[in-house]
Amino acid sequence: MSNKPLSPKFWALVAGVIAICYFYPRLLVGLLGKENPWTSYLYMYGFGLLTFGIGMLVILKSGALKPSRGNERFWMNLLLGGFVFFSTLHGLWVILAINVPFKGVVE
Amino acid sequence: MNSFGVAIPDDAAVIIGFIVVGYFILITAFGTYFARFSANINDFFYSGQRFSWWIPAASMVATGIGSYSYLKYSQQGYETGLSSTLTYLNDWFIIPFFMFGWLPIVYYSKVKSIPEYFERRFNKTARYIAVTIILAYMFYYIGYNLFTIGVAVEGMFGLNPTYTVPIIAFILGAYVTFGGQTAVIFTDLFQGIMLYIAGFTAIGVGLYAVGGFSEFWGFLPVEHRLPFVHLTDDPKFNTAGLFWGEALAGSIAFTFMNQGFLMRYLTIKSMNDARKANVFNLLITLPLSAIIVGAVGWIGKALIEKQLLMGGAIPGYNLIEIQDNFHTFIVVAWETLRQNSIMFGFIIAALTAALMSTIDTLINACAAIGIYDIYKPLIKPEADDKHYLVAARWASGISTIIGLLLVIWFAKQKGSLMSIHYKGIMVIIPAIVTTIFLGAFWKRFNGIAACTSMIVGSVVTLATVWYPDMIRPLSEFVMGPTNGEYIYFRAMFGMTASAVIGILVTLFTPAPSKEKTHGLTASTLDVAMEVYKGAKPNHKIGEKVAGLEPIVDEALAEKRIAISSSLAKRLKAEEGDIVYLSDDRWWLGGLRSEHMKLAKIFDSDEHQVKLSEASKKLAYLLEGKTVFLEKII
Repeated sequence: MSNKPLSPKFWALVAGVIAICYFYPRLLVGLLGKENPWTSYLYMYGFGLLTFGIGMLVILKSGALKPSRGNERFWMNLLLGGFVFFSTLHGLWVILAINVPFKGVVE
Repeated sequence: MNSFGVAIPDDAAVIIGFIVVGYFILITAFGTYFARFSANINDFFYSGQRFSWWIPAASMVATGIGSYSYLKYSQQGYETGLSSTLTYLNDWFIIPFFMFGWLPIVYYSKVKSIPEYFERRFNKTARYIAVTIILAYMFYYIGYNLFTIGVAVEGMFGLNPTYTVPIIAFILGAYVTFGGQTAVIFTDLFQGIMLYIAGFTAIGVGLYAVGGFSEFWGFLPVEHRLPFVHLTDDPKFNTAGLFWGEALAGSIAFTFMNQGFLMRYLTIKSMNDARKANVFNLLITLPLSAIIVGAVGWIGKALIEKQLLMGGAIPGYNLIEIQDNFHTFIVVAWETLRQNSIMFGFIIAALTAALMSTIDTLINACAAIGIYDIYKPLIKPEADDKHYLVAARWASGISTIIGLLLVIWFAKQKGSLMSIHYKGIMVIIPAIVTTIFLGAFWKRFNGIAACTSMIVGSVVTLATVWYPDMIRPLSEFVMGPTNGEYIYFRAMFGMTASAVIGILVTLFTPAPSKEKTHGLTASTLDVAMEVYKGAKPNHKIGEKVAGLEPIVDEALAEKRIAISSSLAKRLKAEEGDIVYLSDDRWWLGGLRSEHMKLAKIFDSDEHQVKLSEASKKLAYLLEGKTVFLEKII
């Protein structure tokens, strides 16, 4: 029952995540403004990528996911592919939304 | 009859009523039929862990679309457009944690409930704190769903909820009590199909009315076409809040601590199939569900815009006027169906059935906790399976009654249904979700920290109901809304507070013993697999071999099979492996199947499989039907 202190790498990762959580949205709003539809997209997928990336890191480092075990390489690729799928889908959706003219009554 | 903003003629209301009642009777009969597949307690709650991935995956459609989804999301869709899909399409971020962390831990450790995991991973105190919180969460959900059924039925048919809610609860209680998990899965599967047919019918007629897809898209204002809303503007629906409160806290809560959903995964025959179900749910089910519950609202908006341009009704249709946005679905569906009472009746029947399909899962889950965490360990530890099966049926009945009693409390609450729902759930979930998370992914996290984190975390989260400004610094930190309404940030605040408490306590207390972590954390999954199998796992990927005619061999013990060497070669199976034997007909989805231990491999060039009559009976195999065989681990 050891009670080893957590590694400096872990604390560096925590500090990095906290810094990203603080600076990233400010950078985004500073560059694009809050009204820009891409701000919401990049907020969601920027923090989403951070979460997803930490998740992948945790399962790979802990050995919960081992690409050499059974068909787990397939599942790893699917996880990555799924992220690309949703981010592309939402990206294309924004493009399609802003580039087709509105036919209704403009007030 | 004037219901939900539309004037339905009395004769049409009678037809609609008949269709709805008929549909309810059909569902109840369908559900109770599956009582024959619950021979023991494992069948009752986990369907004997025998299903192919697609049965539970498809049944999740109806489970995920709960009370008010059509009404709520059509309203959201009408007000903010396609961003109403966001809550259904933002779960992928946390999926690595679930698919390769929590799901395999629960699956391989063979825990029957989340509180049982807490005892094995932490201690008995942690287990019963978890029982309290999870039951509070699930009873809250059951009561809320029953209450909203009453409101919906009253709104549509003018019937008093005092009578309708107990009747609906009785119908639900009947098939869950007798049929168990198998009944829940199959009725939800059936209702899921009906929901899709009803939803796409409403969408189809709506698109036709507006003039096709390009007209629909053209008449939808640009901000309504976007998949995201403004970052912070609307305190009730903003991207920042939706990310932290829904994509993270909400998704983690729903996937990690919803005992009902977890039980659905535990009915699946293998980890590989459970992952398939998970991916199918996220890539197919949820996006489709997002469309069918919200699209009528989007179409409604396009129709109103088109009417504005035309200066009146669209030719062939009545003028569509939506006085109360909450009535969007009913008004748009009724008018675009050109007031066809039979079609509308079918849509309303499927809609009200959607209300039932979430509660049945929760009732079954509450009963599972009642049996595995209260009755079996505390009241009657030693009894035969038959006794527990009867107790499980009682537990289902009692869970339904408690949910029903909670409706009285809900009826007295003030504020919108959404605010009642969020206020309760966002207070209950954060502490336990964080504890599950830390327990699964951090070996060092111990029992003292788990208990402290759950109790203090819950108290701190509860305090934000009276002191909401406690949440403000966290919301400001990530540039979330700071307008005093922290609908989504409350859960995130609770999770952060619980995590900080848990981490601090862990760092100042001894690490847990090996037995408290082995096979129960993400980093010890190899151990979990070995314990699950009872031997070293075999990860070689073999074929699934179909068209086999089972041979009866009474020398083999129950749940043991012998296969020929040629068959073993194709399966890549070895003696001691767990194999899955199932009726060949794919559409049964594993209803007639069972896991077996490969006891012996005998020499033969022919593909042969031998088992005892008792094993055949266990697998519900029918005489003269061929089977397929698949190595699991």
